[in-house]
Amino acid sequence: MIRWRGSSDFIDRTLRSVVWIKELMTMGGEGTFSHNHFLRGLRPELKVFTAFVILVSISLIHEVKIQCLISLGLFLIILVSGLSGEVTVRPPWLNPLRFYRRVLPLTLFFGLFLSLPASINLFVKGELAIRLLRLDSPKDFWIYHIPQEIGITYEGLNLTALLTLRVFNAITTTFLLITYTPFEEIIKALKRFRIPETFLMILLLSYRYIILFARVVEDFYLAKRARYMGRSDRDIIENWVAGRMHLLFRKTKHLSEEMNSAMKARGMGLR
Amino acid sequence: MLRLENISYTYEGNIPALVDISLEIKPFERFAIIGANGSGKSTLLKIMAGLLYPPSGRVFLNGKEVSERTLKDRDFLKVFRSTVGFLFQDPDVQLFSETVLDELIYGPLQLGLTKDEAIYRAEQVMDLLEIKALRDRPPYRLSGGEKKRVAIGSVLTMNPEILLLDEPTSGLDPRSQCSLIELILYLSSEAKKTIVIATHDLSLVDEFGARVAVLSEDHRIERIGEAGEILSDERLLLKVNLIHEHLHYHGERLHRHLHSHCFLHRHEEKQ
Repeated sequence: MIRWRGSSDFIDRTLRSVVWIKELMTMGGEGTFSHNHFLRGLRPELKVFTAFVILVSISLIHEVKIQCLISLGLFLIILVSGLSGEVTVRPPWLNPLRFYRRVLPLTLFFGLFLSLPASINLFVKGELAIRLLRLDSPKDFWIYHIPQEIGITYEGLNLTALLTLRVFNAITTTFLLITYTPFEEIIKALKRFRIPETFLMILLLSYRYIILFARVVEDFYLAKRARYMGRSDRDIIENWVAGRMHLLFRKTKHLSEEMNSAMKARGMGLR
Repeated sequence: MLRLENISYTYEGNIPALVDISLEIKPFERFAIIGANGSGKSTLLKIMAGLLYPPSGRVFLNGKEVSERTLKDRDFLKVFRSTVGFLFQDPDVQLFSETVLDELIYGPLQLGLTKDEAIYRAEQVMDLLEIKALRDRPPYRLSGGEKKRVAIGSVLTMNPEILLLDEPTSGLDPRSQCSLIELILYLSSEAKKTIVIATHDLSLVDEFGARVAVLSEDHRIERIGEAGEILSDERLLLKVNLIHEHLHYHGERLHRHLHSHCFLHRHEEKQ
């Protein structure tokens, strides 16, 4: 595996993650799983409905213990799915450990990091669990009250755990759904639930855009790898990243304009 | 049928794309617009399709002006869209529906046909293009050749009198290219469509046997004439950068070729 130092290593990992997302999004397709596979064989309407119920429950349940039980339930499903012998092409993340290796970074970022400040008594008042700082006196700043003792509270920890678990369960549920259900089946199922056509078309276009651009990013990554000779100067990497971002924006603009023209050419808006 | 008078177009206000273009396309005609990359072929085609509006010059369809103002009239827009079909160079921008069938019925539904009528048309087009097996497949999972066929199908179901094809053979393997050319010829001779193609593929122009407009690199019409006459004029093709002189050794002998990568491969031996 290629190792770039410092920021470059981060870029490498990010690019590989994008490639992985593309693979994940296209993996639920035909030929990956036989239809009698445990999850693939279930009716898409049932899977979409179950995923919807789980997602709504996750956002409504305020008990950390119940969120933990949902995590455990999802883990068991992943375990059973990964062990199923009906997979015709076995994607590496069907291994539960690898699956979680993909879920956890997203959970850490969207769950833990974003909710971590809530554990401090500057935002959520409560009984101190860990004292971080002691000021001479309490202070008032704008709408905030800064207490004399700043630290992590039990209530804050509970809230952080709840938010992190919600994100973790939501990502796991979504990944499970898209891993075992071709996207077109998800759309058909949503259609049967009478979701408006316009919304579905936007969803479909977004999905196609993500795949198209993940392919472009994959090509960027492979082109970089093809010319990688072991040296990685910071300036060169920064220029490369800036250049690729610029190119990606231009491609996005061009593609959206072309697609808009194509829709117009086929009579969009005449009905 | 389609007449352009003194069309000029610039990108971003100062980059010329077309300069003073005038031409007329007659009913049932085969017409090719050829020119090097960046000469303005695609822009010209988009202006003909009413997707771009030139700041100077006028476009007429059957004597009625096509402009941003006239296309605001829904009745005329409907007539125009059902008369002029446009095939994009990149089928990915043209295909945005859930399945091939949905893709094929999108245009007819926009034109106000009932779903049954639209499906009937789609079935006929699928027979013609031999894509019946792709009926329920999502377009983004098709091969390049299949996508191109579906993209053509999505235009044909609108039953336009004029087909504007932007680089129709680009990105296709030789077999797909061949069958596409046969299809274009069929649509011209049997289905009596007026066909306009933009290309730099001289072998396609040769097979197409059309009247040809040659665009120069300064974005003007260099000449309009019959395919045989244009393709035999090597000086003209050299001038507009559609062929190039190629100097190389064959063993001990130095050769100079006029090179178009298709049929103008003639040796002039020089020592």
